[in-house]
Amino acid sequence: MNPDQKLDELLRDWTHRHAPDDTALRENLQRRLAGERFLQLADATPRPPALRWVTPLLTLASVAVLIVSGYIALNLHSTPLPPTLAALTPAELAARAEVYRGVKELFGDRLTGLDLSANRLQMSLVGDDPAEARAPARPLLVRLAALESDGHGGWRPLWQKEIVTLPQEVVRVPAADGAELLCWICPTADGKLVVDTQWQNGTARDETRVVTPGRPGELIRVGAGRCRIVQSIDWLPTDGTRSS
Amino acid sequence: MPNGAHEPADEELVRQFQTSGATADLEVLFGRHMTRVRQMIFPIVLNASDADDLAQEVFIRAARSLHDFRGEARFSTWLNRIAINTSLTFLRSRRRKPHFAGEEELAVQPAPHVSPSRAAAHGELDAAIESALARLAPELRAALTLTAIHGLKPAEAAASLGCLTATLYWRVHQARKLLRAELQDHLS
Repeated sequence: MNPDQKLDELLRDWTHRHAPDDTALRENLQRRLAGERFLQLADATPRPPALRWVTPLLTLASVAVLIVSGYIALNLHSTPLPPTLAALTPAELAARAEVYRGVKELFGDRLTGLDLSANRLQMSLVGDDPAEARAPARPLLVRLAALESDGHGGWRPLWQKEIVTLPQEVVRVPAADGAELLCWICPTADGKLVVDTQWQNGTARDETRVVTPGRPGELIRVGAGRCRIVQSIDWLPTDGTRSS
Repeated sequence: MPNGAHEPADEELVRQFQTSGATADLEVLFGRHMTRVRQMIFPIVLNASDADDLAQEVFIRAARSLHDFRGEARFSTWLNRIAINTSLTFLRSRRRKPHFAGEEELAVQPAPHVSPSRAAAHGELDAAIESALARLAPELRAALTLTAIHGLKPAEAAASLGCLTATLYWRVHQARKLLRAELQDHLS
């Protein structure tokens, strides 16, 4: 038996030794559920049709304003597609932070990310479902680019994405031919970021890198090494200053 | 021996409840998962009384949200995710630390106080396991609980945690490495 199997067995046995009193659990739950009946009925009560529409319309109007302001703000500070990815500048970070703050004011903790690629704005929101709840966290600006080998030692850009995301949220980037890039970023105590990258193209390839915020670098090579996915990631300033 | 009676699937019970609102369906559905959910929470929060309370909380939250369940994931995965979120939120609120702590920081935390009476009651091994688990970040404990203790497949465990499969592997690997070091006397 290898050490992992033995460890797992130790843990399973320990859990069994701490098994709950099933009867007490069920009785308690039945009591709690009985007390919840009126809440379910209240939840199921349909809202008047007018109210159903007002919130989405207000939201749509607000988002339209934000899209315009986001477009303007991003255009002021957009860098061209780089042959090798440049570090994010303080002006770029400040502009994205401003857009993020505006959207966050509207959607609060339901906001998990923004896609700011190609001078447009797409939001990633979660619902009120408790399975989707997120803890408040400081956002990161993530710029990803795919570079393809030109066959002569150089690299030409294929695409670039720019996303504001929260730590430990999955970033999904659709690529050509049904491929998809997934990234997951987690801060570490020493100020670095662990970046898990998965390239899905029929099969999945994983790579984990520890990166320094603000310092661009390669995340993964795919397509038999002919394509590099590179990153530039930094914290969005919360008080108008760069803090990494 | 099969009795020929049709045992409705979880998702079927959810649909029945969504249509009828009958708590009888809810009790059958939740009864199937009660012990499993509580046993999933316990290794994360490491306190039996808290685990019992949080298990109740998970099912109450699930009951309140069940009319929004659309079957995009299996019911058990949806419920796992509520259980994990509820447990981690509970630990975060208790810890009262900033939200920007990373996994490496959380991976090694001060050992909790394990009382002598508790150690005597459950033995040296249980005390060592609890102490070692308490040193792991809650996220690592959750990943290990779903895979090593409950035997979920990596894809389902990752869906329950809301992370990539690669992340799950990384967390389980880190958790096992730290636990092996802590429990080496009991593994040899």
